[in-house]
Amino acid sequence: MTANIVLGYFFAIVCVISTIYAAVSRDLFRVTIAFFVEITCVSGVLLTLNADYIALIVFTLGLMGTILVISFSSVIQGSLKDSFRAEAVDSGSRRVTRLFGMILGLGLGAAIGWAFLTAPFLDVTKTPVISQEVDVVVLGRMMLGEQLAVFELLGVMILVVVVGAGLLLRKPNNAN
Amino acid sequence: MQIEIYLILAATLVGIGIGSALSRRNIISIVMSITTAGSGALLAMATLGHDSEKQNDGLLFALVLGAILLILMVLGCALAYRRFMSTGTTNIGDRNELRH
Repeated sequence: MTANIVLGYFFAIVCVISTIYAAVSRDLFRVTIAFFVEITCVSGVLLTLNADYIALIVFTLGLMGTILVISFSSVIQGSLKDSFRAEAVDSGSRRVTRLFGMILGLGLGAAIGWAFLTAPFLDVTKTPVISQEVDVVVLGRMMLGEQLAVFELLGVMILVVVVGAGLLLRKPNNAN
Repeated sequence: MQIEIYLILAATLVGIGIGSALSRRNIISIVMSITTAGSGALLAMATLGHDSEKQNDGLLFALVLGAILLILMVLGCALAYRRFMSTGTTNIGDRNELRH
């Protein structure tokens, strides 16, 4: 139990550090690696919640997203180290705009955190309930039972997105 | 670990993700920032869903959100490729066509 808590804190700290690094770094390759570390740590935190299936899905999301971003950005931008060159030569007004965007986002995150911690219907001081059932059992029962429509709509949405991405990647007719 | 640790971590991820998305200009990094914010929301959903002893809807929401985030990354990379093929850049700060 103690190891579980220590691992949870370790994953949380590494997650925050890698997220901050991904937000401030100027190298797209390092940003992508930091993104992968961050998503992996989120799945580690989910493991401490006993949400094994969701953790596996999040880890798969991070792995596939990282491979996707590295391959796409390598193809379209050549050197990943030069990808943020345009941002590095920003004018003063654009830097102020970007700083305002970052402050706005952080303020929104602080507001969400405050709302979580002061919600009257939530006792934030207790530890999460560890279900006796594995979460894949719960999810399978829900998705093939009372929430079947969600499962079906998710499949239709993925199909539409695959077709849409194929259309987007098609070479334009007027291209040489 | 108490629930508040998970929720503070989720709010931190959402805040940094939204702030990074608003301050970046590269489409790919914006997509990654939005995915970061989404992973924070996913963590909050899983925490709140797991907290409940009878209702596990939060886990289902987290599962659906994970699929949506993967779809977002695929579409974001496809859009970045499309934009690069048409304009030669993936920075959205140079996009002025929608201003008029």
